[in-house]
Amino acid sequence: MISERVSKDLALRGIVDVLFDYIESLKESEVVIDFSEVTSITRSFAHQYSLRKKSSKKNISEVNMPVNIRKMFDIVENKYKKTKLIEIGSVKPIVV
Amino acid sequence: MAALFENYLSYCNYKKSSLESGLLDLTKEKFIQPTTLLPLIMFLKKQKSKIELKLPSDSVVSAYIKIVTDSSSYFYSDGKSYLPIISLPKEKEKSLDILDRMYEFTDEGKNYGGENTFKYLVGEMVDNIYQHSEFNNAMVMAQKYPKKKYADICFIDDGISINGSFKKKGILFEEDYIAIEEAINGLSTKDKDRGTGLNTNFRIFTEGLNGEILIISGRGGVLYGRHGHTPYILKQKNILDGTLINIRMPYPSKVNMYEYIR
Repeated sequence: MISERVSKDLALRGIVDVLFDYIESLKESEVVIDFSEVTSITRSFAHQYSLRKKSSKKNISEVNMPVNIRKMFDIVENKYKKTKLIEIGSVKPIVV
Repeated sequence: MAALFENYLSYCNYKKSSLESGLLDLTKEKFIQPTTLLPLIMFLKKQKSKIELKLPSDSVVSAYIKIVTDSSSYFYSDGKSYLPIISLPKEKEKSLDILDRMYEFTDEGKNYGGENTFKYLVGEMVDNIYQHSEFNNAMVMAQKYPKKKYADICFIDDGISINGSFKKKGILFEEDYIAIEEAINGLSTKDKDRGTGLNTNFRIFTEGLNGEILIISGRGGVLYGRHGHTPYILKQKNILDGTLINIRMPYPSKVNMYEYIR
């Protein structure tokens, strides 16, 4: 289970790389990742996971993925439109 | 001027006077906030033993500083209103323990935006430090204010700064505050699909939770909240070699973060 090998709270792109480096070192060509007991995931983790999975020659699949975790993977698979929160340079800076 | 930024300026004043006198005199402090204390601790670390430290005359404040700067108590401060300062390890795998402790400190984030939301916000913040700052030293601390109904989580690193990170990838901004504004809008040094973590963080945090974020990086700063933002250009004496991010989070609060990630 990924919750035991990594954490029940999945965060940090670097952790994905550590996980996939391990997966790539396995002899098996089929790998099933069990997402039981995973509580949370960051967008960065899900995005990096998707990138590494796509670039892997192994057949990687997931089981027991909680709804909120699936939702995050769906989000990163679709193009997210960034929200322009600030009109750049619109507010005069305070010099201090 | 906003309180969070004033607290940072308080650090700058302490730094200036201690560099001149060789003495960091905190004797008059009645309470020291994370945006003052965390950069001071980084400053002292960089100065090694060249600066003499005088703790506050107020014994409670003095004891607080001793405890909160004792990183060995980070994992053993149950039931307290603070999470002591701890360094982020270079090895990313070890940082998961630090994140776990932060989740524990906030009761899994249940009253701090909700479990999913809180862990998302903090996880993306820490990830950003690892991805972009190229730090030698990075630290984090947290402080709850039960009467004021908010908590401060403060991160600092001594890395290349936000504008420095863009510059390294050939993206040039004349002013550091512009680089911060671009980062808030989601501009990434990696590729066009990156940078969304911080962008959504700001949306969730300010629009969803009515929180406030202060970013100081190099010669610039931005204070960002629901009702707008204030950019700062920092004079030489107020520059930070690295990046400081303080998130001020109201609690109890709850938000469905998926409404802000489309």
